[in-house]
Amino acid sequence: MVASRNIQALSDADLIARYLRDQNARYFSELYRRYAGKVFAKCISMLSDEGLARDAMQDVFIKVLLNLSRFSAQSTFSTWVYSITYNYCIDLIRKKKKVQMIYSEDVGKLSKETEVELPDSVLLEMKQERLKEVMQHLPPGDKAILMMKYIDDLSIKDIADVLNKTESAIKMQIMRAKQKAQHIYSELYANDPIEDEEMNPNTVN
Amino acid sequence: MSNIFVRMQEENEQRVPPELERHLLTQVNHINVFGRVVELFVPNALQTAARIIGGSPEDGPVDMGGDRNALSPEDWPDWRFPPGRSVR
Repeated sequence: MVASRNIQALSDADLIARYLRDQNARYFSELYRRYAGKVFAKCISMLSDEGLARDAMQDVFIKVLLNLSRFSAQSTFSTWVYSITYNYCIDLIRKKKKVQMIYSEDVGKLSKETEVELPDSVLLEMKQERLKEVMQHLPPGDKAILMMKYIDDLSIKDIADVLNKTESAIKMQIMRAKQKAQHIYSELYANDPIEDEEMNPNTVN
Repeated sequence: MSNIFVRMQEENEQRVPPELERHLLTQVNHINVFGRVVELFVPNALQTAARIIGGSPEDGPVDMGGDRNALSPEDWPDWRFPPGRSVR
């Protein structure tokens, strides 16, 4: 019997290697405990539905299990699991909710001159409830890109690998996602100045 | 200090339904059992099918054991002569 304290001390790579060697579910169970919360949080944010998020999380972990032998150490295990999660959620939204627009605009449609780079503070200084609301109105691809950038802290290259796009396409998409978020925010809260006062208390005084 | 996106994620992380782990591990065990059954029975089933259609175990690939390409230098083919002809 494997002591649980020993299992907890193992790295992700060791757990995977031992699971593949012994097929002992306790190793996979430990991987689940490490990533269940994060995967569930991503599913909820992407799908905005707790029931769907539960099913999605189970499916994601089964996919992870069935593809464990294909995991190569080119990326970290967490990045690999998150990439399965994001792509699964995007596919699910496309199929179940019949959403055609995955990203706010087709990448490359507009020339670079028309794009304006917005600062990160546009999103990071919103109140949490309002950000949640804005995120719900964003197309799923934009949502995934912003989560990868601001939650998982992935590089542009990693995001491009996860979504199978070029780095320049991802840069453009981040720019557009921020613009879209700001646009949604101003539509939803145009007549509500409370946020501005709370965001910039100095200007109120 | 963590940014607002991370705080939002941390809140959602607390909402994982506890019964999901049990469901998932049951599925994992089923998959493992199914995999073992396949590993155990499929090769024999294929061999049986091969016999039914007229094959025999001797027709299949033979395990030579060890490195089958390991020839002693004495046995190396002489590149100067076409196969079948030799100076020796």
